[in-house]
Amino acid sequence: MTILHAENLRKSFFDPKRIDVIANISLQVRAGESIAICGRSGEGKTTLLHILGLLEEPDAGSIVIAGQIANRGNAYLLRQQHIGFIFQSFNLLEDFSVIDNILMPAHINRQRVDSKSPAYHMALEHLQSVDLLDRLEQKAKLLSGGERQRVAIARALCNNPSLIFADEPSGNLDRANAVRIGELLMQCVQKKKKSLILATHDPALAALCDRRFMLQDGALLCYTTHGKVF
Amino acid sequence: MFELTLAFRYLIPQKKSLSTALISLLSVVVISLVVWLVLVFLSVTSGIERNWMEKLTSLHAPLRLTPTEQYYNSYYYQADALSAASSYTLKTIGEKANAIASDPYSENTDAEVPHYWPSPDRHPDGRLRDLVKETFDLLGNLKIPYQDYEISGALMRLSLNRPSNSAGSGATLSQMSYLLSFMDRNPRFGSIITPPSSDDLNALLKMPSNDPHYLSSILSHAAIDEIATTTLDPSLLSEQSRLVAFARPFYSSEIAIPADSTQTAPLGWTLGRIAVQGSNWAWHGVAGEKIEKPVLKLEQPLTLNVKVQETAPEISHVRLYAQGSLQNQPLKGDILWGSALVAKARVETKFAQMPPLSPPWAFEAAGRCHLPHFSIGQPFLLPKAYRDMGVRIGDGGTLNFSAVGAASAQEQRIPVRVAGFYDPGLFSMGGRCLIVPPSITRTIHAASQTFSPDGTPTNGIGIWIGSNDEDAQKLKIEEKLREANLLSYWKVSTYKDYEFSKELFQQFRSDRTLFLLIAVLILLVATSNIISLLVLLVNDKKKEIAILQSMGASGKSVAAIFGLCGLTMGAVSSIIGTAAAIFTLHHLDIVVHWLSALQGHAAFQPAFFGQSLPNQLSPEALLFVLISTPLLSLLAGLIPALRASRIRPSMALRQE
Repeated sequence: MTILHAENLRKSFFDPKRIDVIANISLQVRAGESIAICGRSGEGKTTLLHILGLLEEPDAGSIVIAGQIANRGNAYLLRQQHIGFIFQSFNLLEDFSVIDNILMPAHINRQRVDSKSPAYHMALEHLQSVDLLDRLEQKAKLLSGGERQRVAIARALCNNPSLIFADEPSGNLDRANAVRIGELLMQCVQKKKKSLILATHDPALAALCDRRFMLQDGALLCYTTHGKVF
Repeated sequence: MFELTLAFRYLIPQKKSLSTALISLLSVVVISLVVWLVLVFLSVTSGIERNWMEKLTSLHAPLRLTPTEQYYNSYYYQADALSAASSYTLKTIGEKANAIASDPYSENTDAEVPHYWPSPDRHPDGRLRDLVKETFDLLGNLKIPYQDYEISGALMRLSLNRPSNSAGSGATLSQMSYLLSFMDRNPRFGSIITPPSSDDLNALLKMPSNDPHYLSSILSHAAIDEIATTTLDPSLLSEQSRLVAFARPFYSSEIAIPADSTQTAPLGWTLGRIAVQGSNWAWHGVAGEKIEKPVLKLEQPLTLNVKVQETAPEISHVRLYAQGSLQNQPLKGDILWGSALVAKARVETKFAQMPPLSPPWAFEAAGRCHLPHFSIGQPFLLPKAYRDMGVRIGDGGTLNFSAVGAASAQEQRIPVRVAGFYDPGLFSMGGRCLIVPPSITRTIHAASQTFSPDGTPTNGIGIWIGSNDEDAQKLKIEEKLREANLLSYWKVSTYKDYEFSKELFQQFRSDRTLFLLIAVLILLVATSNIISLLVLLVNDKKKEIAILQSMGASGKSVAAIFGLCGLTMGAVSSIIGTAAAIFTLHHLDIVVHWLSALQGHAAFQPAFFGQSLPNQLSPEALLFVLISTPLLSLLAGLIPALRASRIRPSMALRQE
């Protein structure tokens, strides 16, 4: 089953010369599949991820998520119900506690978030899987980088989305933490049978994914298991 | 609702966003101040307006029925002029209501009815319709108090007989006056009667009367607390007292006691002291002179606290227990009233039930106003300004009017006596309007052409409605009159239509509208602070907004967060401002006192505003503030809210 179907996506920036960041990219992601998008810095991995995750509109092309054609009117609903984001710079709500951060997507989705609600129990479960149950009430701004990214992973899973987008999740972390986060992310995704679209320049992290692509000059090139591009 | 949670979070001051916190605090303070100002001002002005309305309508009823042209042209009204049974005289509404026969005309004895008269309004059975009695019945069925009134005019002559040492002695006051019939059913009339002053009491106590209970009728309703005397009763002195007194031992036995013991003796007078021994007293001079039992005159009137012990047929024989001090020496003892004057008294003008012995001044008993009964002259009430001219309760005089007889115009006099003073408020002819018993207006009405001093119809029916829904009541009464086929004979008007108050109330209304406009403008300026605050906040929280959007928050939700911030600030300011306004109104006297001290003169002239400013929170003002402030704040929040909703998450998330 295809969870995401993108076709002929284009995006150009004018700065001041026209740069075709994404030129005619089509992509299909099946449920439970993990995809790595590799590429050099500035190749447009983040832009592609934002377009696929409906945070930015493409100049042309269409995106179908869970059978619904994305448009300006339903983008936020699709984000709410089907998409979870993990960012390089964590992007937690700094003044909120760990549990409030994790519950925020449920809160936005108008779910009950009191301590007896299913969303709360789910959040505790996610917190346990990222091993942060003891930091429940701590303010996000007091956490370390690795801990923040673990909270971000738990938050991305909060609304039980079918698609997780991770944009350089280990980019801001030291090696040991990066490896741990990579493993944790893959573990969570596989355990919960989520689709993952991962943008990274870390080959080791990319190697954990089912399929790997290289973004180069606006085009998505397929990577074989042997590391050959064609 | 996560929007509200976030709005509260953003409004609570954070350490790192001190500037936002300061601006938000400032906005709340400014809006609260404006809310406070608007509430206090509107409450006070609407209170003043209400007071004026009450004063205006306390003399005249808030609702009025007056006869129309059709009534005056009707056979019912005109028939009296033809009928011997009515002495060929037209009748007022009050006389019509009391008339035995509805149709006094008799074909056998009276002249023929002119052919041009309108045909009589008759019942199906042929009886003439009694327009006044039917109307009274109709009003009676509505269970609201009503009474007919009459206005006429006369020359008032009052003789102000006083002991030679007080103002206006032997003077006569003449004044062309308007007479308004006293309406005892007016429930508000009691509030404008001013209680008798001590001067009034002194005049009343001196008034001769052939009624044996006259003195007790005064003393039983006026508790005398203090008297002022110019002679000292020796029984007040004790054996220890040694009062300094001056005398001229070789010329007269006169003694003068100064108020202060350190005073030096005037030229030709000798210093001495008064000593009491048993029932004897004597003055002892410094050189050994002595005057036995002198009359103790005081240089200045002395005020004594008193309690009436025993009344007597004459005031000078009333026994009192008195206490006081002179030259720092205590005085106390039983004394006779003598020639003392009342200095302070508590006078009752309101009674729960009709007192067995009614006082000789206008009073309210069992919810109705009553004029006293005098043995000579009919009681009447004067506007309070006459008090300053030296008129006192009990002063007698006449009301003079000319009656056209068969051969000549004769001056007729009705003896009258002042029964009290009333506060005419802002009533245009209040300075010259006397309240007299209806019998007087009827006598004058019957004798002379009536006139309308300020356009008020001279004859009509006053209706007192309890609440402020005069317009609804007017419609209701009109409807009832229409049903009874009486509406063509009566015009129903409210105090807002009255000739003397119409312009005043229109002015009130336009003043209020103007202030409301200004208030909205000030509120607009105050709430515009919210715009700058929220723009700052939106800039500050750009990234958080993008994060929320990445989690699925819609543009509307983001806008709602900042709209709610504005609304919350408006609501909080309204509550603070309202609380402050209630507190201020509660302590308005202190504010007025402070304002007066600041200006060096009374901040609010009692002549315009009454003795104390109204301090009730006006419900309309509260409604205005509680609706307009949060609404304007919400509007102010909309601009930044729209800005926030247009943030592109992708751009904001990239900015590190």
